Amino acid sequence: MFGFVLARLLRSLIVLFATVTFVFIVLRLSGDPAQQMLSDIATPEALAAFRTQWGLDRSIAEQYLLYLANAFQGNFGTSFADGREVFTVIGERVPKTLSVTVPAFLLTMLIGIPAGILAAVRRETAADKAVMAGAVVGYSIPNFLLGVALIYLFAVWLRVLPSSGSSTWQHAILPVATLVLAGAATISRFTRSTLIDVLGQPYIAAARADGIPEREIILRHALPNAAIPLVTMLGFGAGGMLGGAVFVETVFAWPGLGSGFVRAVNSGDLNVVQAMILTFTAFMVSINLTVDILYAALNPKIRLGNHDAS
Amino acid sequence: MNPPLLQARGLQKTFRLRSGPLARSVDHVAVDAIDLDLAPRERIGIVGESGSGKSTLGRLLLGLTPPSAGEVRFDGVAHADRRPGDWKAFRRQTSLVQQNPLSALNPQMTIGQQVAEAVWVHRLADRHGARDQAAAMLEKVGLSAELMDRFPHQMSGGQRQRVVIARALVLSPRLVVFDEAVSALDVSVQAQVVAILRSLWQQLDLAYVFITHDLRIVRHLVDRIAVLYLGRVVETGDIRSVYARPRHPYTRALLSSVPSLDPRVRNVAPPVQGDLDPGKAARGCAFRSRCPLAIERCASETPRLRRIDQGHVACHRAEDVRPLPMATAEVA
Repeated sequence: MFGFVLARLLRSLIVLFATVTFVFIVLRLSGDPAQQMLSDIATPEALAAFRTQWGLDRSIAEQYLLYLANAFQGNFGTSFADGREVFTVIGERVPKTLSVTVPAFLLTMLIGIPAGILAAVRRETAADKAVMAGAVVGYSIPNFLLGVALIYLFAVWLRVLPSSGSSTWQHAILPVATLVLAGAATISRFTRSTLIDVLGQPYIAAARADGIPEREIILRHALPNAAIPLVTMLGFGAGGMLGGAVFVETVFAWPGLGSGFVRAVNSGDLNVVQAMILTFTAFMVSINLTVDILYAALNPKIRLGNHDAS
Repeated sequence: MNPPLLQARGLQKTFRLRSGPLARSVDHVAVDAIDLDLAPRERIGIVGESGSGKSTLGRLLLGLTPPSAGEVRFDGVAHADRRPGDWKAFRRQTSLVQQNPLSALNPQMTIGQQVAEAVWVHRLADRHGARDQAAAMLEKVGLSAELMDRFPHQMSGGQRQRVVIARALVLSPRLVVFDEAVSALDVSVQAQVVAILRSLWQQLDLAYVFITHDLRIVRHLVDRIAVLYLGRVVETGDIRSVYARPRHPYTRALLSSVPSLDPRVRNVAPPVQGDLDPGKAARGCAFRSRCPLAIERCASETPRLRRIDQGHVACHRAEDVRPLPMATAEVA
């Protein structure tokens, strides 16, 4: 188990390093940041001055090594746009993003998993059909469209919730709801199909034949086994929240990583874009690492190794 | 004679099959008009090919699936009349052993937990006492109590099947359905499990239904046999007399195709040709399309079980079925 965790940890670090390298090179090759920042009417002198100021006149290899050296000390440069430390810019936005995605993820689990369990246990009943109908709706509407629809309904028509900004907690309701609806739909469908699959296993039939009450069969036999694939799916769900944040924060003008990323890309703010991709990657890598460790903890085949007695 | 422990009358199970959302649904009769009596401590073998309805029959007998028609009684009480509380008492006295021991065990629970579970669920002991009972039961199937904390994936196939048997017998049930309980095992392991089952039966007040397609194994384990073809019993009788003198062409074909270890014995009768043909089961004898003795009457009139010698056979031409060659009969 310890070796397993250590191996996964190492792999995560390698992924982070590879991402930094890849992103760095691709961004340098994909256009001239000076031109992008200063617009088309900038004089050649202004462009040259800009490049010298940010070290863009040196070779890519040189820039890369310098970037790595600084990054290891927590220095990701300064924003081209306003000259502030990138670390500060991102540090302001991370809590904003977390304040939408974390509640959204918790609510997704809190709604999606019980709904899926209900649908699986009461299969082919009205409860199952209601859950699945809701899931199809949540699943099939793209989240940017859903966001706009929610704004129209609650902000424009009913006028009960604010449509954009982040000054009060009410501002978070619509962005969170947008993320939860799509997330809970996926999770409930997956919980249902996984649980139905587990409930069809011979060991469930054996437990029924031994007179174990259905409630205990679900709690003690079915759910722990369904949890293994579900944890993987929840990992995707958590990653999806971050991806969804890019859309949702833009739609609701929520000043988090997602909307900040869109802005930095549009303005060619190289250092910010780079550090934000790294931040997203770090989040994804930690989600994957958590999933891997949980997966191993839940699964005795990995936890204890596979030494067959025969 | 003792009153039957288990009694099935006119048992039928129909599955509605639909090949696509717009296709018309087709009724598939998996189990058709089966009567069965089992006395306390009696052992019956249900033999048939895959698709003959034998597993469905096992599930019907244990009330794990409701019948489309007919009824099952255990100790005189019909499954249909049982209230939820009665079911728990019934389940305490019955059990099921399935084919694949790996999938029949919960991969997340230790062996000890799984064998002990039913004991404390039925409040026959506290958790500690249940664990002791589980250990004792595991010893009875030849597994050391040291294996209690192992998970199923840490054991061999034969060990797993012994765990499944221990779990099924830990409550000293009066009826167990063994559904292909040894079919998935290696031949050498099969022999061990057969020996364990025989010795456990000696020690316990146990009747069982042994469902299998394996005619070699069943011979060592049962008193009576019922041969199933497309959901119907085509022949039933004492194991010795059926093996010595099969009266249904299907039984004869099955017995003559049992592989023998004796080099002098060659399969003499033609083994059954073709596959199960559920489409033609509606009228006449279901076996006629594969039967070497089929005549016109077999297409028009469904043969009913009738008494011949000690057993019952559903065949118009039972009297014309030739005995097996001596050597085959001996070995089979």
